[in-house]
Order: sequence, then C-alpha cells, then structure tokens
Amino acid sequence: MPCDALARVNATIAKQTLTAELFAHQEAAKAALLQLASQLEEVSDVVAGFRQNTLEISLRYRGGAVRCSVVRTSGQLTMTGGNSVLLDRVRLLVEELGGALLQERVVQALQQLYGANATEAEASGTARRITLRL
Amino acid sequence: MDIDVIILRDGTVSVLVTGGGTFTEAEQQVDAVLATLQANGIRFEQISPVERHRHVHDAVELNPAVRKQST
Repeated sequence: MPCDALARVNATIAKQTLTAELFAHQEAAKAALLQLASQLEEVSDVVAGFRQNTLEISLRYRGGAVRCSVVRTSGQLTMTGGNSVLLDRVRLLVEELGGALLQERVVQALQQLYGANATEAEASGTARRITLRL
Repeated sequence: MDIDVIILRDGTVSVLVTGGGTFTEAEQQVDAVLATLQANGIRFEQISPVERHRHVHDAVELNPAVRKQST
C-alpha cells in the first residue's frame, strides 16, 4: 500500500518582530496605516509618522483625539487618551500590518532561495502559501 | 518531496512536508526550511516539536469495510 511520510511543524514569530517589520518598510507601512486606520469605526482623521525608533499615530475620532506610540525594540504600543477598545483595535491593526509585511518577506526569501521550485499557491483567508518542489 | 510553507499574519509559519520518503527525510526537510528562513533573518520565538503522520493513499477505496464505516 503506497504511503507518504508527513511531517509538520509550527513556528511562531514574536509579536515584537511583526511590529518591528513596520520600521523596515516605513513608506509602505505609513501609507497602509493611514488607509487602514481611517477605516476604523468612528475615526475621522489619521496622521502617522516614524521618528527614529518610534512610530507615532495620531487619531481624531468621535470621542476626541488620541496619540499612539509603537516602540521598535519592544513592540510596545501605548496610547494617550481614547479607550481600551480603540487601543485594542489599533494594536490589532499594527500587528496585522506588520504580519502582512513579514508574510511578504518570507515569501520573497523562499522565492529567492528556491527559484523556480517555489510557487505561490492559493491559500484561505489572508494566509499565504508557498509550495516547494524538490 | 513536496513542502508547503503557510504563513499567517499572526506570525505563525507552518511547514508541511509530504512525499514518498521516510519520516527522517521529511523531518530533515522541515528543519532545512526553518534553518533557511532563520539564516535570512526570520527569527522564531517558538518552534513546535515535529508532528509525524503517515498518509495512506486510497485506503478507503482499497478497503470496502473502511468505506462502509466512514459513511
């Protein structure tokens, strides 16, 4: 009876590594942040910018104005003003954006290393899948 | 052997190796992919133990009793 050996492993990239990825692609990250943060519920205006090792995001929303800071080294997000719901939304947005940028980096690394043997296949949701044929 | 690398936005990277080889070979391929990514600056906070499975082709078709039980 034909059999396949099958081995699987899950590796986790630290959240702070995801947020640090924003600093490696500052122009793209800023553009995406401005677009995505402005779509958050009740948010009317967004300003974002990188200053050395800090990403600063200022949001104007129905309840007032808030300023968020993301520290590159620790990935820590702090917010002055606002509430915990808004803080959680911004944190999720920042981590997802960093995750998307890191997805791209992993995909590019595999395609560069494995050349024509690496092909991107369809994946569910926001996942990305690379198939390597050796 | 075929290797699937699935990357999620939450930072999870799954490496799945299938093929008509031994578990040892499959594990070596998993390790090689992870090592390659790490060598290219992708740092992992945690790596799970390698899960081993054996995928049997056409088991349902070859064994009517199994097919009956599964329906």
